[in-house]
Amino acid sequence: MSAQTPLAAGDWVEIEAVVLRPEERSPAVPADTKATPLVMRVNGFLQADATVGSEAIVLTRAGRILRGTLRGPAPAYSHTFGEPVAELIRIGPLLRAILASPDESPDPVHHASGGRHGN
Amino acid sequence: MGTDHSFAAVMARKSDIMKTSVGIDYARYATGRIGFDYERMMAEVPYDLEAVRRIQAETCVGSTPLVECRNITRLIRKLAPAGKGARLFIKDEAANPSGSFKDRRAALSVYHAVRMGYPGIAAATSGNYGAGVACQAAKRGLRCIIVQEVFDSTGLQQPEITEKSRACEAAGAEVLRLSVGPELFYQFLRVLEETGFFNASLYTPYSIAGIETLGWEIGRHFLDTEGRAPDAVVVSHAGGGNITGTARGLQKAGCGTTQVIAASVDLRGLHMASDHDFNRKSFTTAHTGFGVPFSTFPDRSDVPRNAARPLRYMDRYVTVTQGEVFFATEMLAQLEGLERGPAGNTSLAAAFVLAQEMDRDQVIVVQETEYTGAGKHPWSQLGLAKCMGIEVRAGDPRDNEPGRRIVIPEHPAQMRVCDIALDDLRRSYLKNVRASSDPAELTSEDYRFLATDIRATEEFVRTELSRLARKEEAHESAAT
Repeated sequence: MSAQTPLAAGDWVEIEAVVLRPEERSPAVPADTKATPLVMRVNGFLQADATVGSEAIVLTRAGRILRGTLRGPAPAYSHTFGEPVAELIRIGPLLRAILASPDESPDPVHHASGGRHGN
Repeated sequence: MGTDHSFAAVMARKSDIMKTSVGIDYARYATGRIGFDYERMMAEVPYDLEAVRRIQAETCVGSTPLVECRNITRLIRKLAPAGKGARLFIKDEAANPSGSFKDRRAALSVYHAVRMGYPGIAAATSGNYGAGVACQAAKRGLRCIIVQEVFDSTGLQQPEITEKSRACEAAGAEVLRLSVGPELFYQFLRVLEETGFFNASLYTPYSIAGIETLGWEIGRHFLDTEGRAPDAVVVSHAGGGNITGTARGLQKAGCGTTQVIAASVDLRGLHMASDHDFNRKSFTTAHTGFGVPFSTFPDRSDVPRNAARPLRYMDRYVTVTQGEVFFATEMLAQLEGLERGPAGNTSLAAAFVLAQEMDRDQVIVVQETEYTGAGKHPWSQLGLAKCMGIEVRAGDPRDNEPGRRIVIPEHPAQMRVCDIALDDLRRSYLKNVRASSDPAELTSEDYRFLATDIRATEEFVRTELSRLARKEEAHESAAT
């Protein structure tokens, strides 16, 4: 969607607002954090047609009216399960091989009674 | 004339906002100069354990399966010395409605908020608790706002927290997603002030009372089925509520002898409020970045008196590495068919090692699991780590270095735990006391409170505070 095309009232959108500018931040935060503004993003239903980058008003899921800069249609959740990790995939076969190996340390109780321990 | 919304002005209104939003006048419990009557504060929760169980059952919270991990126990016995290797059980808290034990805390907070007539409920949390509050609020028809720390200054989101944003929205909550910084609390205070909503703090007496049922269920299970208390319960430790509530519940079940062991992922070296470090942690909870400071200064929480008092309840505190927790997560999935965590599996990684020190006729319980999913999954977390330039490799977990290198053990025999000496934590606690109050003004009630709060003798408290004073004097005279 181009920045010029307005989003329509009622659309599910995301807005952003600066909560604290760098100079307004807590004196206690580390320097790298203090160099940046504290920014807030929230999704809501757009209350009047607005273009991306302009001031917008939304109605949130909790029924509140919030103002901010329109970032665009509310983003999809695109987080994933990630790519397979080789160091993890080898663990299952390794553990099953250990369980299948005969060198189990003896269970004094069950060996004394002549039975295999029943795990 | 409008209200002053500057950082300093809002923070100055903190105690009034808290009093209104939690409905507790914490000043009532004060004893001495700095002490307070913790047990009285807990006793005045208007719901006893039976009532909490009933309230939680109404929304299908609790009574989760306690699973005996027979294959993991077999593996433990392959590695343990002869005669050693306790039976390992896991409390499958992922079976709660929103997928974690946090539903227990949320259930009571939401019930109480409705009963007290609050128009809604809000929580400052980037973890599973947000989904728990949103879920319980949905069930009881209460409006809900969750405030989270989600992305760094480049806009890069921690995928586990993104998953929590999604889960909260899925249950109908408004989610305020913030960039990195502890001033999230400032924003949260503004929300409470503007809405008049109930503060579902993780650290109210309601939140802790909600967890007591977890310890109680574990204790009752073993008393009823095996006629004895479990020997050890391992708790993933962050803010301290989990260990406090679980230990109190075990005691209420009649299992006062059970050893209660806290476990955290070792993230020492990473700064919790740093924009740079935010996406380099690979864990959003159950780590030392919360576990240590909340043990040594519990009242750093969002309420004036934290109902989570970890040093009162922990018998031992161990750490494990990031790589070991990922290993344990894979082990639980591969050997027991339970795909969970990973952060909640911190206690599993520790218990796997601790079980090898214990006798075969003993029982060790991992007291929670949490759901897994996109963003939370180890592949997702390790993918982010690689993207942040962190090396991921197989090897000896002792080479693990938070923020630089995640080392996945090559063999389960490489897993180990590191003990954090409780006396060191007690000394740090007293150092924090010394920093914020003049010991000359402490009353005998204060000494009694401090001794109880860190589970030490009054003698220990007096000796340590004097030692700190001498150290400071020596420091000052050296400086002049």
